[in-house]
Parts: sequence; C-alpha cells; structure tokens
Amino acid sequence: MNACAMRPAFNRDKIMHQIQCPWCGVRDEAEFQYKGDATVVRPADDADEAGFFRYVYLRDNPKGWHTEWWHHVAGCRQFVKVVRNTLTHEVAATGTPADTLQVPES
Amino acid sequence: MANTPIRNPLDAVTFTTAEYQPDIVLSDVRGKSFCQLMARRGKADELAQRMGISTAPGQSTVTEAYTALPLSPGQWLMIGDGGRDGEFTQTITGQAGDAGYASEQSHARTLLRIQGLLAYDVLAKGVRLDLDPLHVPVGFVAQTVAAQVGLTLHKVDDQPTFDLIVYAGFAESFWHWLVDASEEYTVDTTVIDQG
Repeated sequence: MNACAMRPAFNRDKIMHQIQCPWCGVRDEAEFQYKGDATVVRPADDADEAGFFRYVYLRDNPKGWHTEWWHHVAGCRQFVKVVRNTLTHEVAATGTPADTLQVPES
Repeated sequence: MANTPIRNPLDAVTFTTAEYQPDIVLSDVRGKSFCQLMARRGKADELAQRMGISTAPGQSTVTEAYTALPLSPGQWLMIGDGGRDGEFTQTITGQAGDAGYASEQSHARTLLRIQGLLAYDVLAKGVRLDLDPLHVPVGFVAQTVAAQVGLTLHKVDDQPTFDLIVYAGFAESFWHWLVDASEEYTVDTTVIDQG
C-alpha cells in the first residue's frame, strides 16, 4: 500500500492549522513555535544521570494524541498547552500551562 | 552624545499627497512615548486598578494621559505624548508604585496609522485576523504578524482608524509593505507630529 492511501481522510475545514490561545483567541499556527512534549517531568535534583538523560533527550513519538507546548511567539508570548493529533493535526484542547487537559481516547 | 539629532525610522521615506480624495490615509505618527508596563508577581489586578486600566485581553483603555494596550496577562503597552525624553515612562513608573514597573520603549517602537474604509481590504492582505467590524469593536487590540513583521494592532475608531505599532527597526520595511498594499487605491501618505 502506498503512503498516500494510508493517510486518513483530509478535512478541508482543517487545512489551515489554527490554535486557540487562552489569551489571544484563535490564531494562525504560523504565530506559534513548537516547543515539544508537555508531559515531560523534571526528575528530582538528586536523580541519577540516566534519569536526566531521559529527561533531556528521550521523547516518545506517538501516533495519535499528543500533549505539547506551543509558544505564542508572535502574540502574547505565553506558552500554550495543546492536545494535538499527530496523525490528523486535529486540536482537541488548548489551555494555559497550569491547566490539565483531557486527552481523547484514540 | 547630547547633541545627537533625533532621527526617525521613516526619515528616508518620501511622503506623497494624492491628486484625488484619498481612499486610504497612511500616517507616520511621531512624537509618541511608549513604555511597557509589567505587573509584579500576583499584582496584575492591583496594578490595573491603580492605573485605571482594564485587565481584559484584546481591549484598550484610553484615558487623557495615555492609551493602554494589553499585550499578555499583567502586561500593557502604554502610549502617551512627549517623544523620547523618558518623562512619560517616569510618570508611569511613579503611578505603578510597587505593583509594577515600566520599561522605556519610545526609541524602539513606531506608530503607523491607517485610515479609511478600505483599510480593511489593505490589512486583509497581511493580517491573519478577521477584522470584520461585526467581530472587531472599537478598542480592539491584538498582537500579530503582517508581512513577517510583528505588530500590535489597535482599532481606534469606526472610520476606521487602525494604529499599527511596529518595532522601529522594521518600521521602514513595514511602511513600504503598507504603501504597496494600498497602491491599488488612492492613497495619501503623511506625517503626524504630536511631539
């Protein structure tokens, strides 16, 4: 099967990737900078080297829902937490860094 | 350094008057003072109350002394008259007391103004926001990007008048984009000196 046939159905409404910033409202994705996995937790100060290696370098590469940071660099300059589907680019929820976002079951 | 003449970011620009009634008026507004006002931790509401400004996102507060544009939680761009002598920032700093602090930006920002009904069409060529008057009331403020330049946009009145505040170093480039985008209409370019 070729790669194109494996792609999920493309929703025309979602061609423009937009992110709801909790402060600025819905904005174009071009105003944001991707800042990676938002689920990574810093280990305790006395953690071993392997713990810090995992924290700094190792990331999952999930197919489906992913909680991540987007920096609204051209707007309010706040970090926005986004639950995005890495397969369809659909955004399920956004919030401030303090928010706990519900990740949909895939 | 005391005698260094004050130069403007648009010194190299030629301003022109249209032959007919212009659809669009573009202005370089000079003599404004800018400072960024930031609340100290947990004191955003106190600061807003003290300054008489709103904490609501996307809505300006206009008083006789200044215009406050919300940038992000607890952060405002304050605009006043007076130019780059730093006096405006000192006044704001005094008013903010221990609830916040102001940093001088008069040298670092340029205020460009676009007026006329066709301003919506001109801005639509670069600004990725829906500026339709149905959605965007007078006093609307947004930080966004147009022509690769970061700008703070403020809808001043329903004429409409939009104030576009850009970084001084990008002002000339942005001005050329603005003139270029307005070229299909009759356009006046002017300097408004409020210093």
